[in-house]
Amino acid sequence: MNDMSAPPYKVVGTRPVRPDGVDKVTGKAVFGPDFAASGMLHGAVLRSPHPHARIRAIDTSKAAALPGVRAVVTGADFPTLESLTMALGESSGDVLDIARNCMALDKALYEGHAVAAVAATSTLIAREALQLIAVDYEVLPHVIGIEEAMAADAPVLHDTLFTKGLDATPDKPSNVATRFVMANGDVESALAGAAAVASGRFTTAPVHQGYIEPHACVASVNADGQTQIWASSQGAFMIRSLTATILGMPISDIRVTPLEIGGGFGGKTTVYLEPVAVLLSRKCGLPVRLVMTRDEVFRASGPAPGSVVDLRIGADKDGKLVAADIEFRNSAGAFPGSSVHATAMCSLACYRIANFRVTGWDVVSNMPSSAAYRAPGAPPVVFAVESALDEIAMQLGLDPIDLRLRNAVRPGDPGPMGMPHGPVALVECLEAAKAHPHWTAPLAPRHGRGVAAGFWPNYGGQSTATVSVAEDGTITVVTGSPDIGGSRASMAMMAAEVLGLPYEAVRCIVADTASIGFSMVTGGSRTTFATGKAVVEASEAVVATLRARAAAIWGIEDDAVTWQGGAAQAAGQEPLTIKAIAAKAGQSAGGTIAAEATVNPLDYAAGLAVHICDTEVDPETRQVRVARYTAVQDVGRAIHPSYVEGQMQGGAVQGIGWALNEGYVHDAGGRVANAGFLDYRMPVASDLPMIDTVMIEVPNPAHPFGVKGVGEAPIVPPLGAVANAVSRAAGVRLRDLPMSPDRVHAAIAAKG
Amino acid sequence: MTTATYHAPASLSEALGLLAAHPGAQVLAGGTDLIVQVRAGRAAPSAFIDIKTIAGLTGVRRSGEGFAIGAATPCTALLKDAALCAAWPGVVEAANLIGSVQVRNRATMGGNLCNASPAADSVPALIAAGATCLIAGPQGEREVAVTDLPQGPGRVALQPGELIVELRLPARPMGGGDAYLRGIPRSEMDIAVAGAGVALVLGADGLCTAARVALGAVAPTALLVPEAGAALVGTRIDDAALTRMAAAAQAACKPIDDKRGTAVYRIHMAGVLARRAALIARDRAENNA
Amino acid sequence: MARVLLTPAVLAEFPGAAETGAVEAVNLFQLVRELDARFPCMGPWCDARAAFAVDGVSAPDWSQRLGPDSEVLIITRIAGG
Repeated sequence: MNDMSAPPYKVVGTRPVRPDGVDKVTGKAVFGPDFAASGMLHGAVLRSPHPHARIRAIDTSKAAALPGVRAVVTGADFPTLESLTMALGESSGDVLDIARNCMALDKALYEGHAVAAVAATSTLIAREALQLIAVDYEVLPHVIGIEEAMAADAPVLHDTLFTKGLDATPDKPSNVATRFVMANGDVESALAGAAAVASGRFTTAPVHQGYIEPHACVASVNADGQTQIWASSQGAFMIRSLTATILGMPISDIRVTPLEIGGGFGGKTTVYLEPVAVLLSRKCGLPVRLVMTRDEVFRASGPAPGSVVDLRIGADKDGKLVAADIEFRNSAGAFPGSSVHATAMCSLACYRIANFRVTGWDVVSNMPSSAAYRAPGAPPVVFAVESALDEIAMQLGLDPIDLRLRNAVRPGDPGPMGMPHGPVALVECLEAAKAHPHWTAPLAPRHGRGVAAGFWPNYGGQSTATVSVAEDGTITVVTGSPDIGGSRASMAMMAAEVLGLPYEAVRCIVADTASIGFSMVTGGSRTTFATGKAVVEASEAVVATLRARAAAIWGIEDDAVTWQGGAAQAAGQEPLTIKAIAAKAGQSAGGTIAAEATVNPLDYAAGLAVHICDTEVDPETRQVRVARYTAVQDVGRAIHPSYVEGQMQGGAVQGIGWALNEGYVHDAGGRVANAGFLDYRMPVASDLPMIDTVMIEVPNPAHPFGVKGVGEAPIVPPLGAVANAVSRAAGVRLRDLPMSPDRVHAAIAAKG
Repeated sequence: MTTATYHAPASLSEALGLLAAHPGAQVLAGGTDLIVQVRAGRAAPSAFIDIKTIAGLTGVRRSGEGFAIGAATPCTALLKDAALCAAWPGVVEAANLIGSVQVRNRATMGGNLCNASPAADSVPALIAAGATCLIAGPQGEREVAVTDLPQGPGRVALQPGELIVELRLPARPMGGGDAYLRGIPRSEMDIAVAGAGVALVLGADGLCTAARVALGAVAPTALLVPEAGAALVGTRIDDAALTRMAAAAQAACKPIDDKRGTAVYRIHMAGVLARRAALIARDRAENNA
Repeated sequence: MARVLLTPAVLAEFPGAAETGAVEAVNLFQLVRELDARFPCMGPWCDARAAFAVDGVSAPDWSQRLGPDSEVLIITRIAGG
């Protein structure tokens, strides 16, 4: 650790109440489905009952004639787009696919795929109108599973999809979008000489992000084309650019106002409803609201890809990893794009392995188009790798943390994408885990203890912030980054720290797209880092102005003035507080004091996490109970420790759900059988112990306060940590997630 | 547009009249199943007949030595009746496993029965306890054993125009005890993968004189398994008897693989849960001897 | 001449491209123009999807001067949640 380890901060590192807290606990906060515009119509979306069907014709005439119906749209109302690529913030996406996912044109690719939409004077009328829309479907054979979709005789979703990344370009389309290979050294020789080899197949089910707030928006289009959208998402600018591109509109004609967001976890980094609502509103001239039901959320948004991972990992007799061969297949859903690059990159990123070959396949099938979910791509493959490491530790009789310490990456080691690792603190995390009382606590009968590590690269990218001084010297911070994890509090804290003011003197809001410069989505664990940097830069610019104003008032040079404790200081002068300077702002040539900063930092630092889990497996019901859980993470610097701990706990809990009981279930007809929180089994509070947190603070030197992203790393280790704990408790390796009681029962029964 | 009508009759006869007048009507008690089904488009009644407003259909009362539970009585209200809790703890506990506390403040055992889910928690407990239900309809009143009411998923043996007025539990026999357990992957707010209700009676000599074992979520309807009960009679509910009972319970299962669990696991769980429930019922019976 | 390394994800998009190559360019803007001349559509692809590292350090600023021995790594941007 460097000299930033014990900085003299007054605000950073404290735990004030979040500025949005009162609104949320009193019910005043306006979330996506709460917003209403004057004269607003209510929309509803007709969705395909078939997982795969050609749309021969759609007759909307009866629906359009129903009294109260004001607009009907189908895929034919969307502009025809070339398959163009565009920068979607940090991610990239095929806009045509996103448009087709918003509404099918010639084919419905999954059950729940939107095929038409209606706006009416009431929700009931809109829903009744949906029943009057006649869709002539030619039902096609469907395919759900990854391996079934890869089979030579599988029904093909897209005639235009030819596998990329093969040695020779294929001559016919298939459901395999991409093969991606990352390799180094001689894997086979190294494995042949290994003292211990763990191998096998690991699978995970598609899971939903499970945000409580459904997708919702209101769109209002004027006759001159100017359009307003109110929506909750992880990026108002993302909604603006995607909607404009999909509909062929100038970006400046669209103004998106972010509403309070009720969870996103990556699932709100794309559009589903907004272009449809804009088309409906354009047809009738009135604001139109679209809100998904929970059923629609499950059938038509998210999920995270399911996966099938085959691997072999070998170590020498001392536990040094010598080679890894990994082949994974991710289910992208209806359109390509299941984060294969990130999956490959994160698979072995925690460890020094000289010889490796990682092969990834991106596979489409008749499921909803997969969306980002917290560290997209990483958790399933890391589950497989961390399970294999647990087996190697057992084979060699090594402590599982010692095994990981022996192989842990250190700063400057070669990184997974060719650049060296930055300030990774995996060793510190592993040592903290080993020193934690949890690791050495006695295990009760029928209990097992698992450990796993995880890596996520995090991100930086474009952000804008303005900091302005009010007439009384209080501060307004404006960003374009939706607050999904307490970022308004952390932005206000960083500004307060720079300005030398108490937290309460600084208020932070998230502005609409017309009121602040471009900012990428809140995703990739980038906001406290990148937007935080913009806030700090703008705050520093304000401090420079304040010093200059004080210097002018005193008639001395700017350099003679320092800024401390929220006041200008100079030798021989009474300090001038920000309040006093602000009061004089109108009297000097400078006027109002405010600054804007735009940043695009890419010197972000990766997140590393190590989790320990104890589970108890009931000897008869085979039900798994999580008995104890400890999450260790390098957080760089915790601006607001409570919200950092909340991210760690939330990531752990979502990972526990992924490991134990969550997963899409399809019936024989290719339809989702558990599209609701009753049968899509996310953990409830009583399923969980307190999640203990240990924050390791190894600062990122590229951030003024040392921030590293913290939101995604904590969902990477839990799948492996829980699986290792269950496997040790059950005495049999659990290789398939979720580890629902019937699966654990079957695994133990198969072992005999 | 067609809109369902809502009716809040003040009397049973008024309710029966409304049911007769609205062939597509459905009875609304707590609504925790029906409203959800309507919102999801799985049910579209022409009228809702709310029975919560009918005097006498809400609450628990003594009926001779036994109990009569109004069909509109919410599950959490059962907890407040100390005599019922002492006599039939398994029934009260089963009813209070349904959904969440908020759901149970509305949900009723009558509704749980009429919804006719194979996984309904209160039904195996009621069957084990030997409960009956009083049904009123155009032809007057009739009393039917709870075990005879479910006909299949979503189907009950009610004739058009009929509704359940109350559930009736007998007096607890001397030396009697009951219990209900269910298996769910989570700790609460879930649907049973399997459930088992056991009610039994111990004689003064400690031998079991009567036993009823009922299973949920392992067949199209909740099952009364006489062979499982018979395996306990004449025994001290010892390990051998429990093993025979569990085997008989498992033999009666006809489950399916579905989103909530595999058939193999359900059969396994039926044995585990019946055994555990029998042990709880035995302990309760010993305390009541 | 800057040495250019294409990662597998980039090669997957441009099957004809070699893993390494030498490009004469003063900065990344020019480098992308040169690559676009060699491999059709690589320019727009880089605009939309590429990230660069020069001598092992992320390079968000394409105007950064390239030295005669600079090593330029081209990778695809990774999406976060």
